[in-house]
Amino acid sequence: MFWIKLGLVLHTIAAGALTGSATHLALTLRKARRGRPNPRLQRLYPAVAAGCYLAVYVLGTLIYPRYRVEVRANWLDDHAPWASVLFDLKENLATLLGPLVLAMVVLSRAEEPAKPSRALLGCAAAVALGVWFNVVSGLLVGSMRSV
Amino acid sequence: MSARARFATGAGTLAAATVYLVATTTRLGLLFYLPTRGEWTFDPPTGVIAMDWFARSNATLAAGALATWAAWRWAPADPKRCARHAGRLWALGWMMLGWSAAYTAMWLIAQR
Repeated sequence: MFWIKLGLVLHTIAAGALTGSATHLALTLRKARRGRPNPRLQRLYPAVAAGCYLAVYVLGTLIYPRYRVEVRANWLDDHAPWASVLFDLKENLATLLGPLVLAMVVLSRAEEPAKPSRALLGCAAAVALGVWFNVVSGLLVGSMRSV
Repeated sequence: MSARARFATGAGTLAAATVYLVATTTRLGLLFYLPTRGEWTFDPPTGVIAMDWFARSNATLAAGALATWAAWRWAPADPKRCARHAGRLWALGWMMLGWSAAYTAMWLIAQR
């Protein structure tokens, strides 16, 4: 039980860092496309986001079976089916964000910081929006029996 | 370099979204995890909790990484041609990602 709780806490911390790095990257790239590049941050944020995505993914994978049996099957499916759907949607969306995180890393290393492509900005914006949705969904599902 | 990167990542995104959508819609050849038994199986018994997310998710991420590597390796040498194809790949990739997300949402809601 202790290791599962620890995994959940670390999963949440990594998700928070992923949200911050992806959001800051999207805003930094928007500025860069308007003529105010920041080469250091445009390289740093994608690397941080990729590391955090990997941590969130691995930790989430380790705690998911326990959630599926003890939380979803034993309680959510009977009392709050909408929360089960929301959680599954979040998990699948996280998978679809994976290739975009990889694209963010590759493109940020290959492109001139002063001229980031629309593809890179699109990836950063989509990842930022996706992880914000996932963090809010996770918070809602995780707080089902608290407030 | 930049066109080649866009070509490779566009191909990776398209491949990942396609594998995800095919795996989600057909459910063919998926490995299921049975969390109550701690077992893996291709043929889950009825009435037992079976999770296909691990196989679907890992196949999607592996396809994306592999296609990115392969497209980088075999990208067209001409930068203009590479950029033109990169634009098409990204357009298809975004479309497939959107389709995958929309299909997943409708599929999950319909299951309830």
